Amino acid sequence: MLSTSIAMARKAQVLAEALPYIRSFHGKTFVIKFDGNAITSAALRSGFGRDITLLQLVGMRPIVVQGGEFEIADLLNRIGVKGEGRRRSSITDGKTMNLVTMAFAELNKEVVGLINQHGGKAVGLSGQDSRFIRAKKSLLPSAVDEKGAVDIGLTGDVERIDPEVLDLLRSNDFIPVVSPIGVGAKGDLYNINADIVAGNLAQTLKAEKLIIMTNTPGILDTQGRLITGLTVSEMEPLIAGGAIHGGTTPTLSAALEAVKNGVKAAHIIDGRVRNALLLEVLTGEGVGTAIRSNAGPHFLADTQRYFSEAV
Amino acid sequence: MLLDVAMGLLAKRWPRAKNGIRANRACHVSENETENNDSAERPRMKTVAQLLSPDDVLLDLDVSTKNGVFEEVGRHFERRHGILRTEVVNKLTAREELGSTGLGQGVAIPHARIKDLPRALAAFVRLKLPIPFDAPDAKPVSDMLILLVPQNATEQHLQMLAEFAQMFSDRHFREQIRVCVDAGAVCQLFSDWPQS
Repeated sequence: MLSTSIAMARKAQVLAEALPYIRSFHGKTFVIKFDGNAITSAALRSGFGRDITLLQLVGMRPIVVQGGEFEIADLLNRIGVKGEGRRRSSITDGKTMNLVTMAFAELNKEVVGLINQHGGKAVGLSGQDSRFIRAKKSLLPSAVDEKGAVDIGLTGDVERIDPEVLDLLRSNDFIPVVSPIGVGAKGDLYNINADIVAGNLAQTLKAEKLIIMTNTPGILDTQGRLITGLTVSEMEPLIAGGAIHGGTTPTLSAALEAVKNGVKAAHIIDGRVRNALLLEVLTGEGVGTAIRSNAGPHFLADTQRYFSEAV
Repeated sequence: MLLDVAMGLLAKRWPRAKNGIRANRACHVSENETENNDSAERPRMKTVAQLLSPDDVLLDLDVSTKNGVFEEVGRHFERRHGILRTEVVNKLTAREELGSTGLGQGVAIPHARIKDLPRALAAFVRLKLPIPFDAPDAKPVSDMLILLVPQNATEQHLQMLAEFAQMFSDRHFREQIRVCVDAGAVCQLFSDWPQS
């Protein structure tokens, strides 16, 4: 009897403790990158759907961007198409682009389903819908032995984002699930890195957080230890000096660019941790690495200034 | 932590007085001891354990605003050390206006310079529920170490604050302090830091 009431009291405390976090982030936009390569098991996927729904129902505004590299590779493999690559960038030709679109559509339906089965109102869309992600062709800068920039086909970059369709969905409490496909000036489709799309979306929507779920614990130092927090000015020299590990180049640059352009914080978190999203948003500790702008309070610098003020 | 880099620089300049920490396992020094700011060649820094007695630990305080905490803390310092409550509240608030003293991860170190204060004073507050604090991670704060220092605060006091911030940048330490059941356990944890 006593142990039951203690357990009940603890549950009540846990629920009560969530309130200040819910209050802090009420009405705030979170752009969340879903990585199929990190969120692999059925339990993790279901947990992701539940977490997104919960965040939405307590008043936050999540938007999901799906990654799809793993699914694309899997599909190409299944049907026996060998992808061509150049310096770790895949070359997307017309035929591959069709398959990319297929793989994205399949994953998009799955993620939408994961959220909806927990009572959320998810809607799947790609940058082609109302052409809200305008893309431009990306070229690989030429290496020493190459003449001019390298054409990597229909691999693109974000030119601009028109958030109208997203605003329409969000104003009615729908949760957009975005496939990272962009449209070129002539209506041609481009495959864009999902981290880059998520970062650009976060900038356009002036998001509170960009949360990139990865299959690493976060950003690690050279000794493999997790770095829990960095400012832009702390991070840039570390990247330049090759002193950090974990997270791909697009992940790191998407996070940096977002924070430099008005997003309050970018988080690179471990998608393999159960309820990683809830832990990140609704507890004091969080998981993974948080990257913040140089603005905002700086405890030591502010204190130094305070102490140097005349009496 | 965000502060690791800056703290590393400070730590290099002022190696931690480990012997001092080990020699004084008791949680506080006698009331009439004053700070020895200028005599030693190498500055001798007070540790939290030396500044804090179990009477200065306020656990599970039920307030919902920053100002509410400062009022409670002001009352505590007035009762225990005879410092005017309004002076404490106003000075702590003035420092917050320069930038929040929240560190992130639910921790803050509010501090203030107080006129005619003979030596530094500290209090530790754990709130029943976290409160908004404009911390750099935008998350609310539940654990606070409050420090009052003399008006003519020195580099030593700055170093003390850096040291405290470093202590709270240790996740294991934060987790331990959150499960302390009473004031004695909190003091013990401060005096055991850094763990070897």
